Amino acid sequence: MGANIDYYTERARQGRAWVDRLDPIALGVRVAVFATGALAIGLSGTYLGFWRVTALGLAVALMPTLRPAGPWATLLIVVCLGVLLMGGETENFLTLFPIAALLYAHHQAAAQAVTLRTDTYTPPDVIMGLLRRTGVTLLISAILAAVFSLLPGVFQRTSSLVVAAIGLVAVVGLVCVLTAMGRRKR
Amino acid sequence: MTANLAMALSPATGQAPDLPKDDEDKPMWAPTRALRRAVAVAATAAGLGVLFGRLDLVVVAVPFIVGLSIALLKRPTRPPTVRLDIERAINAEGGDVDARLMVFNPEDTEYSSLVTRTAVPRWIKARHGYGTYAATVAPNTATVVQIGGSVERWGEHPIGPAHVMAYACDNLLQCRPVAAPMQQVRAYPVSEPFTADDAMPRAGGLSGAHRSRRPGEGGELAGVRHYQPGDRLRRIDWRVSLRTRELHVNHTLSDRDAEVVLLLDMGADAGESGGVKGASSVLDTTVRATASIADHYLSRGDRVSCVEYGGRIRRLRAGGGRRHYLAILDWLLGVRVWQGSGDEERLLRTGGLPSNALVVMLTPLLDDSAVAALATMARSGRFVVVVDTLPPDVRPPHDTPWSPIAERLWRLDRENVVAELREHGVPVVPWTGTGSLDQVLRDVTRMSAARGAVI
Repeated sequence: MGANIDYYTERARQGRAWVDRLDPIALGVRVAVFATGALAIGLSGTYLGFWRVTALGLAVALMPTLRPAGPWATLLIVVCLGVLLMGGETENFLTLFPIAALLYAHHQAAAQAVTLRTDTYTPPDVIMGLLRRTGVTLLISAILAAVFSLLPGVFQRTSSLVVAAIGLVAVVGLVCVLTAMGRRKR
Repeated sequence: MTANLAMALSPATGQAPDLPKDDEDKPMWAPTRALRRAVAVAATAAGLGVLFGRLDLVVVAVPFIVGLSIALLKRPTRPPTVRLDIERAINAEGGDVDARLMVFNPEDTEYSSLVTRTAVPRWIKARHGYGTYAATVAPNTATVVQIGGSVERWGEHPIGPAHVMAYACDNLLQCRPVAAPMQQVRAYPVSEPFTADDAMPRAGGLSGAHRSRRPGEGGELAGVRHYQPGDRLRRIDWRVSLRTRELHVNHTLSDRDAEVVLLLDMGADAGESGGVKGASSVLDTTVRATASIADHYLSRGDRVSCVEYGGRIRRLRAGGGRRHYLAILDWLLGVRVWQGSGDEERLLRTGGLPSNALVVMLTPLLDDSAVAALATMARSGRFVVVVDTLPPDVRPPHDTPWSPIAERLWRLDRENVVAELREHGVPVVPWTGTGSLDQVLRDVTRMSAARGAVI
């Protein structure tokens, strides 16, 4: 009995020490991973109904929060793309771009969370830098996305097969360029 | 925390990591899972958008494409340089330790995240700087992590190695881990207050602080005797000479120094060390008592040597003065418990124990070979004093109902050993700091004056 009390006392002490070591900023990054992921799923799957989309969002967003180093963040984005694909085309830019922004923010937060353990002392500079870079990217993306949203009118006069061919070539070229940028020596 | 120390810390002064040969072909900076994810999402969303004619999916891909393009415009090629410096490498136990870890970014691109982790040993109670730290490092600048704490126990304590993980290009690229080698903090044992007022049993040198039993030019008055040819005139005791009407001179004893051999029994340890403010193990008591005794006798001008006795025999030559005291403290840092029986014949044969030296053996009396060594030294006519270093609160583990009885038997047996040693003329005294050896040194001195007496 005494040994059991000692065991639980030690466990409680270890738990307390773990809680004391938690860093609020590092924890905030995890919260951001969860919030952005769940919100992205929630906004993209409004047609599924409140309860179903909430359950899906919470379930899929939980794993990247707990294990940001795993494939779960990728899975969340793929699920979100699938939900978007099945839901029919969203033409309203003001509805669409927040989803894109949330997915990118989720990706960024997960990438940052990989570098930070929950007990890592994190100065605000790290998060301010992350917010600054993400903000700049989203600002440029918003302008580009607004331009893209005008594209259907431009391409209405062109055959859809030609558009698809040009698009595929552009996508393949883009992937090649991005991969080369990531792997080049200099 | 970030400091512009580009001038202070050049890349050449940092220590590049020792890379295994297998990894030399791999690039220093490798893509992270985030980079693969971003490329995959951009390709999938854009591809699906094009295939199904869905512009909304293309819009989803846009931030990923833009983010990748901006982040990967400039990428680093060299690793960060890391340096771990100890500001006070030599200390006394209980003293403060300050170290700093400096990480320099030699590139023109910012490190979006830099995570450092410095290993801190058990006996350094770190106040800050331990665990993992994150930072961002601007191009061509350095960041510094200050590590501060106190040394809780004597010995050599390694701080580090410090591991650094650097991430650049919006955490899309990760550098191979870089490590700064560990640095040693040397903490000398604290000398407990110790004095021993009594005379040395046998002084050996030509000059020193102790009065010998030989007449000579010293300061200690031995008596008054008749004047003899050759006596110095300034030694004439005029008061006695006038009273007795015959010339008398003051008769003094010569001053001599002595050699003290501190013999450390390191064949066994007992008790758990709690650091400088906690409980002491046998090893702690032995080392601190040795430092105290050495400090005392060296300050009185005697020569002190040290011998570690146990599974191995290690010696420090006899010497005197402050420098030798520091040499003893350095030597004590290497004291370890070496399980195994000591060889008492070898101990005496190798000449580390001069016959006229006072041998102070610090032992917990847990090992038969230590008792045998004591008996051998006593039989060979050496002046031996035993300092019992077994902490009074040491209790063997009570695992079975028979444990208390076994412990009682063991204690009775130990008392018996102590009594037998006393019968052989070897006084045993527990270490209590100040005045620990006064009584026994008086006994040994008396015994040396009348050999064969039983204490």
